[in-house]
Amino acid sequence: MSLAGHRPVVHAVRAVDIVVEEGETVGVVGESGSGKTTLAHLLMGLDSPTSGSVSYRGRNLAELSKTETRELRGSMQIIFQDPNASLDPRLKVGTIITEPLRSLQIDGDHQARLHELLDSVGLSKTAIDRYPHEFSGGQRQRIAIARALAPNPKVLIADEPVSALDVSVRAKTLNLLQDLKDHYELTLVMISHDLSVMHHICDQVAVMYAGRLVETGPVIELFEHPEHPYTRTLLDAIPRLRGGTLVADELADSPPAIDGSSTGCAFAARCSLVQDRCYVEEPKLRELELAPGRSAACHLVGADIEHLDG
Amino acid sequence: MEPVLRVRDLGVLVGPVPAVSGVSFDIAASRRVGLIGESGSGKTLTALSIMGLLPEGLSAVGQVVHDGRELLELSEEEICEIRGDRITMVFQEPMTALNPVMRIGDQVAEVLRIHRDVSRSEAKLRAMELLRQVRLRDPEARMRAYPHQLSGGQRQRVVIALALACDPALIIADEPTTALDVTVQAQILVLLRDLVEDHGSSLLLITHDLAVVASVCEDVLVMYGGRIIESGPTRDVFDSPNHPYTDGLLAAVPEIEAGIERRSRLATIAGSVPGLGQFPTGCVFRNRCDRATEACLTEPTLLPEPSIESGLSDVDPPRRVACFHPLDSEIPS
Repeated sequence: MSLAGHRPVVHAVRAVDIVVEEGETVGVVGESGSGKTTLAHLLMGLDSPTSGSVSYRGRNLAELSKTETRELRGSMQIIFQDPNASLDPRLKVGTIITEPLRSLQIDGDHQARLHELLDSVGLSKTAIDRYPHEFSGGQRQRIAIARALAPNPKVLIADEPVSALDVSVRAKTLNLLQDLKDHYELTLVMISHDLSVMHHICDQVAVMYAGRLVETGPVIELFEHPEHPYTRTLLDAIPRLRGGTLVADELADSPPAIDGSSTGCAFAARCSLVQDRCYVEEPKLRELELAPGRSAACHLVGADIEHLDG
Repeated sequence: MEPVLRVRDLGVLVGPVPAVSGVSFDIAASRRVGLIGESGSGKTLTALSIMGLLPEGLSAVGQVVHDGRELLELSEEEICEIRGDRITMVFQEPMTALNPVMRIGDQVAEVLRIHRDVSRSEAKLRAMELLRQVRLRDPEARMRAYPHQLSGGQRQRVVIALALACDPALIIADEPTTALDVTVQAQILVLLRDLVEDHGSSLLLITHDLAVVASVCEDVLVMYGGRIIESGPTRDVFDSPNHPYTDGLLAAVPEIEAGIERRSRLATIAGSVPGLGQFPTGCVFRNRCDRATEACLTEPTLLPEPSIESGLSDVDPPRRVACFHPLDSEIPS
């Protein structure tokens, strides 16, 4: 294809190493263009990585046979931000929820499964013969969750599942996700830009910037003592209910360079602690000496802790 | 002192159903007021009525007074003189407020040319100054840019420049940062807060995000079911809400706060927001309220009524609540 001429290679997601342990809730936090949704698609096998691999229980997704891929599709399900866009308006709710059972050729009593699913997401049986438009936003998200749970997945990926919901509906949906996670022993991967939601629901969190992971670790520790300057910027920018000062990063709306030509740290241009080497040498994500289980991709982390804590 | 905006008993009917009813409040000069509520609370209809921008077929009743004039009684021509000059708006999606085929500089200059008797070159100089104030980098070059060449955050800065151009008495901002990333949101909120202060304007900030109000607004109005159910200084209302709905809403927000334990579950409000026309008679919240009694079959009034004091800029407005059994009272058994 030469219509668009030569297109530069853009790394939407680059050198990302992430391990999701069974039964955990892992959050992927980032702003628009950080690559968090691309990462979700890669995890699901909806997109294929140009390099590297995604493995599920030790098996590389790219090397699975057709039957194995179908089985995997049942084990990993995804829900999206906008249930309006992901629910077919012409299908009845009962048909929508049982659809994965048919497409994945899962045998069994679909009707009984449907009733059980409606019950676990808190919808009444009368929903079965109604259409998505007859439900509120929060209820539609419940329908989408019930459909995702139909094939009895092990992993549920939730891409901004509560961003479009009102405050009180959001609280109920988050509680529901936690209940379902416990009940079905799910591993939950939450993709969100909302740090308060992440803090509330996740065990582990991974912060993305310009397609890279810049910091990972247990959510409470990481939010209390962020190591990467970008994580700090993000946390400073959250409006707080109990007042507190908003800190604006003057360079927040200058997009990071993510084309192949960039060297060094993608956050360098916005970083208040930037040093010469940050422009030439890309920092690797490495485990913090003083905090096992936590990693950051920053030349300054661990080099001069006092300086960072200032 | 006369408040910048005095709203009394404002109502909006959607067909036979009152979507907004009995809304009364004052906005004093140079005060920043947040209007919060969930979908269907009537907050956007309230804002649109003030601006005379209700959709075709809807009309507002009651009083909206600005500078001694009854805004609801003005002709389209008269309201146009006020809109964009004395009272201006910032919307969620900046693209809808900007002309896509007109250069940024010309759009800002145009507002000044319409509302102020200034020459072309004067307007241009002023426009550049405004773009500098909203901290658009390299404003000289940006003057010649078209809206699509800017990022979402930069476009919202231009809209804020338009809103501030004539040093308005009041800026109404409806979810101005909802479409933006968190770090860009912080920039825009800080900018809005600071510039509103510099220009001596008042701000009515409409949002579903309680934390945004806490960061920007001195006072808050809480809406539910088309009514204001609680109002007062933001800090006081958020620290010790009086209305059970405000209390439920605050408890439903996950918080990152040093020293505060993470809750395993979020508090929720029983039931869900009824559809338009399906709110109960009497108190609109009574079917979801665990404090409701027989008294709540009558509609409570938001008390105390706004007084002369609510027009003062340097005095905190009184706390008001529309509830027979506010949280600081005992429920009669």
